[in-house]
Amino acid sequence: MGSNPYPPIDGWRLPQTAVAATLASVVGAGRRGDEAGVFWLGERGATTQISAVVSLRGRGVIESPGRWQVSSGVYGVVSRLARRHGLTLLATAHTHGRGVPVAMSITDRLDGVRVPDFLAVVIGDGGAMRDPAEWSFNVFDGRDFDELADDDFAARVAFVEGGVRLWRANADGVSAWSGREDE
Amino acid sequence: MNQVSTSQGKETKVETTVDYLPAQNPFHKAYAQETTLDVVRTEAMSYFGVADFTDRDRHEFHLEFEGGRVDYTQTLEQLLGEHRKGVHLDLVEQVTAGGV
Repeated sequence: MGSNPYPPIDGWRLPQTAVAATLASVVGAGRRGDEAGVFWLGERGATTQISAVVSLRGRGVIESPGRWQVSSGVYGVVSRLARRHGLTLLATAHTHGRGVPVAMSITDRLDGVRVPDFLAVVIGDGGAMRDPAEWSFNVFDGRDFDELADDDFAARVAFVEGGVRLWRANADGVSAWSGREDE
Repeated sequence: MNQVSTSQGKETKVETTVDYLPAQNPFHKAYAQETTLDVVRTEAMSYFGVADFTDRDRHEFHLEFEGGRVDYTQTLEQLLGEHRKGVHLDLVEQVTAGGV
């Protein structure tokens, strides 16, 4: 049957390149007033590194003023990509628009990926909030998402150097992505 | 498919693996080829600790094979034919707005 599907995660190593790619992916929709988001992939472990960013845009991805939603078809595409590369979905990062609290909404909590130690990140101001220390980092504890307080955030999230793999995906498939905005 | 000896004779087993995107480790089990995909879905969901539910939306988990959703009334043999040694499936969540 296999071992625990969700090895515990104590901390995350987040490359600055992942932050930059995330912002590049979402900021265009933010300017239109729409929410947008990305997937962060890697391998689970006590200290786990974000090693890939998947920009989600196109068929099966809803970007609207109050909602960012990814269809099961897109999840299927990313599942097959992740399997080929030995990666796991560690986190989602999505935007809230200007004036909307930088915190998980009820919809975010209900529709989020609810597995242990899953990370749900909310980026403020449609992606114009560029400092990730101002974003909301939330961890699923088995019952609900808990926002990391400042001391927890400092202890568990480390910003590191290094590259990440970049892809763009939707229900039609996946392709390599430069990580640049407006592509 | 693998031929596995049992007390009743030889029984054909299908090595079945199910991946779920947020999980590090897959579900794996050898099933009799007569097993329906509904059984595989149920046991995989139990392993991954997920369940269908309805809040404001309807959340359902589905198995996909080679990019398409499977028919849960089918057996593994019907899905694969006689000569496949194993199968790799993906468990994906579908959220349908306005479930309530």
